[in-house]
Amino acid sequence: MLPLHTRAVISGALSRQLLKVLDLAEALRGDVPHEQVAVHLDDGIDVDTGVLRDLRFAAVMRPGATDRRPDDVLPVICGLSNTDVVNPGDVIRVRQDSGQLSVLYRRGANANSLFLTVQCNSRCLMCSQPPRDEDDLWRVRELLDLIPLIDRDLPQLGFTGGEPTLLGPLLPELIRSCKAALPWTGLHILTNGRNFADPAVADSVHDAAGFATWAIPLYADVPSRHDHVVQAAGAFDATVNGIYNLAERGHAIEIRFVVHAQTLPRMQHFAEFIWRNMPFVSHVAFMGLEPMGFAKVNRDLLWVDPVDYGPALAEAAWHLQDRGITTSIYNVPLCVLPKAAWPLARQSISDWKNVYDPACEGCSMRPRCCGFFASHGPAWRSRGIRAFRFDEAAE
Amino acid sequence: MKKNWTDYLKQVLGWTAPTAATLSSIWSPVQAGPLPVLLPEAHPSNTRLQPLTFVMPNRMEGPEIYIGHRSHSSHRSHSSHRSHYSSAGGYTSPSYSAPVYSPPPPPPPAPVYNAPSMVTTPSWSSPSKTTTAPYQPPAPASGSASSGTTAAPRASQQDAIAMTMRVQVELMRLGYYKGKIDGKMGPGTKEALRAFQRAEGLVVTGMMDNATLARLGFVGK
Repeated sequence: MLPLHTRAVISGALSRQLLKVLDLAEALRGDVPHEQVAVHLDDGIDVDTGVLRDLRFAAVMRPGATDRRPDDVLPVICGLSNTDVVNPGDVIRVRQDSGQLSVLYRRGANANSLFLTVQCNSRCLMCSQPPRDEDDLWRVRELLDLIPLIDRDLPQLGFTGGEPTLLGPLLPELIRSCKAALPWTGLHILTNGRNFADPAVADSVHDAAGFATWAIPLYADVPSRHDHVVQAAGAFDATVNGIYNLAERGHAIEIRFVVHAQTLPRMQHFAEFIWRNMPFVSHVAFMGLEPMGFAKVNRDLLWVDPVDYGPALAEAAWHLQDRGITTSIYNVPLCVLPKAAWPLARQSISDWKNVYDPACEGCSMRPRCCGFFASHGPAWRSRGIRAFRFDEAAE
Repeated sequence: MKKNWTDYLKQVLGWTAPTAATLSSIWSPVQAGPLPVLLPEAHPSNTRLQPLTFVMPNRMEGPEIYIGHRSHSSHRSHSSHRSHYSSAGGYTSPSYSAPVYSPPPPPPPAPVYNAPSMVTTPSWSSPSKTTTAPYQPPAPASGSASSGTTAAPRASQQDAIAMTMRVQVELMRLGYYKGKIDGKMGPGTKEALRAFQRAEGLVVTGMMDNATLARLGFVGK
């Protein structure tokens, strides 16, 4: 698990908060405007920072050093509490006053996402990112600065929140910005889809067709169950209409289903519902519960030991996969999932929150297993967790 | 009149055995001659020992803008030594104007994807480690005069310093340079360049000529 934040010592006045960290060779290539670059220098290298200043670089980063060198004429970012957090290629936000350093884009991470807003029009019982009603449009402004600094060879970029459609016209603007700066990067946008029930809203995101996948949660095949899980009346109808509006405009759609006590009763029906009514979806993702945010508060409503729902999950997932809809299982470790479902299991947990249980020590399936969320504590620990011996795994 | 039955039979057989009758009109692999296959231009002595490989992105287009004083014309005397690889590279028709550096434009606002510059030709041959003269592009065609005067095009001071730094970093990475990265062509840098050129079989100039830059991996923008 590699955190996204750390503290740093900043010596000198930074001209901007958002910086692309590059080693000297890559910085000098000129692919990124020098004013936006912090040059990452290893301890051993001896560079004339006066020349770097003349070349208009914004800052120099010496992660291991405790202070600037006497002849440093550029602002220096040093003394990182955790030097592993920042590496060349990353885009960071540095707060001059607090010294807080956040990684907004991490080169080489297994997933990179843009956080669009904390606002949401749903209140899902298991929400791992509880929404707040605050004006955070500053995030969008920051993202518009961030997008051009992201590596062009990034295969996929996520949009998360909160609910992106609450940004109105700013959502299509963000999509267009990505399309222009990152033409080879596929977008993966999480949304509850409710606002797409309005055809005008569905029209507004036309730039995303062929370029983005909309990942939309649906928790049942009937309104009563779905609306209860998302704690919003009318949500099911709106989401289904939104899905159809997007689909008929040529957008790619992924359906997400989170597995817990409230959704299990209708999981098989849900699978059949998708197959019969939404065969156009490009992907269905069954997701194990992330014990964060509201899920922690609602544990008693939600918790089912994955070992107990494993067989039903395998059946629902294969029901779809066998009928030609690509299906995946996320966030369920292999030891608690029936072996028949292993081909559908993906390694999905983001690097920065991915941990393993002490029982995983020596497990031969570890390279293929998603592991656990960092928030996984004893109340969320399946009784089925165990390590596999090599011969068991080889079957 | 008696029918010519033999001819008639041949005709009839022709109807019923179309393949036989039309054999000559069907192309079959048997009839194919050796196809004109475009083979990579291989240097015999090298390929016996190693397969064809690309050493590095290998062209620095345009005039020698990182070399100090000499005017462009004095390089023409080397043109007779141009390696045969570069001729396969097809130098350009006048419609391609070599990118010439005039005083620097502001840094590009959007990140530019720098594909290895194989812009002009998909040449199969790579200038491998031969001891030929640094390759010289022909004088850029009409449209490319930078300052409009007869002076040879040169990189701006900023660009030259940046390129020198890049060269210093790369030479340090390769182990030839151990001094300060300062963007200046001091004696240490020059000596490191000479050592690199010697080791790579390039003309030992101690300067950042295009062939040396290309060998270091800096292809022309």
